[in-house]
Amino acid sequence: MATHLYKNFLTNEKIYNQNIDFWKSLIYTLLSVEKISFQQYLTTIKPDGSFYMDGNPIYNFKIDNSNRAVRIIQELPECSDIEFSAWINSTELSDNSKIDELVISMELSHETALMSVELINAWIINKFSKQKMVKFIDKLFTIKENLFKAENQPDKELMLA
Amino acid sequence: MRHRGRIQAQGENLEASEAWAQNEPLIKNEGLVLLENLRSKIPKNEADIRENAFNKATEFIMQGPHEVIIGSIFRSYKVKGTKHERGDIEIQSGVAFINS
Repeated sequence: MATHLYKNFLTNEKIYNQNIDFWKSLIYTLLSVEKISFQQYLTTIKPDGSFYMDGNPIYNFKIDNSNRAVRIIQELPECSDIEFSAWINSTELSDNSKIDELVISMELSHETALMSVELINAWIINKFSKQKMVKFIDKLFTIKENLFKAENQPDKELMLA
Repeated sequence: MRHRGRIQAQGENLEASEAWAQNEPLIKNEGLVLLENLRSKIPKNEADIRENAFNKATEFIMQGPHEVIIGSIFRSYKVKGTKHERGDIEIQSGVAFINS
């Protein structure tokens, strides 16, 4: 069962900003130790200066002098299951540069935050190839499915008693 | 071309997209046509599971115009409970989904 964080992030601007700070702090902690510099590569504000406030993405960054990027999409929690997915997307930016981005789409909980850190670590710090990353995502997804499916199943011994 | 982007349906066994690249901003109706073209060219079961994703994409198009300021504007709408079945909108440069 997931304990969701910043549950009302889409309807409260203060919570939305705190939610962005949560990701900023997490990513900074992860990358600053490695002396990796990065910056945003996507527009997250409207022409009038206000946030899109849809969590899509909630946070994004591209590594300086690299084609690797990370886009984190946070969705509104809808149930107590662990909702988490990721994939690699190859695309182009406004300056015509090509990038490979790790896209993470999830409902934020302690569990999904940790899974995100695992993937970002593999993609940015350990520099897994695209192929290796796809396999790693598959593996993490399978582990997630098995682990939390088991957690949600009623105890067989209790049912037999 | 100053204004370019793509609308995609992606997943485990699917890779389909509709792109634009032009000198004038894409208008909302043209965006909706691209989305409809995409929906009609993928298998029905793939379109059906993405109904919610396509609805959210439609909503995003109707909320336009969207202008690339700092960097591109990307949206991905994942089908919950799946590995990574989804619909994407990427405004790579310029402005998209203006009123006609």
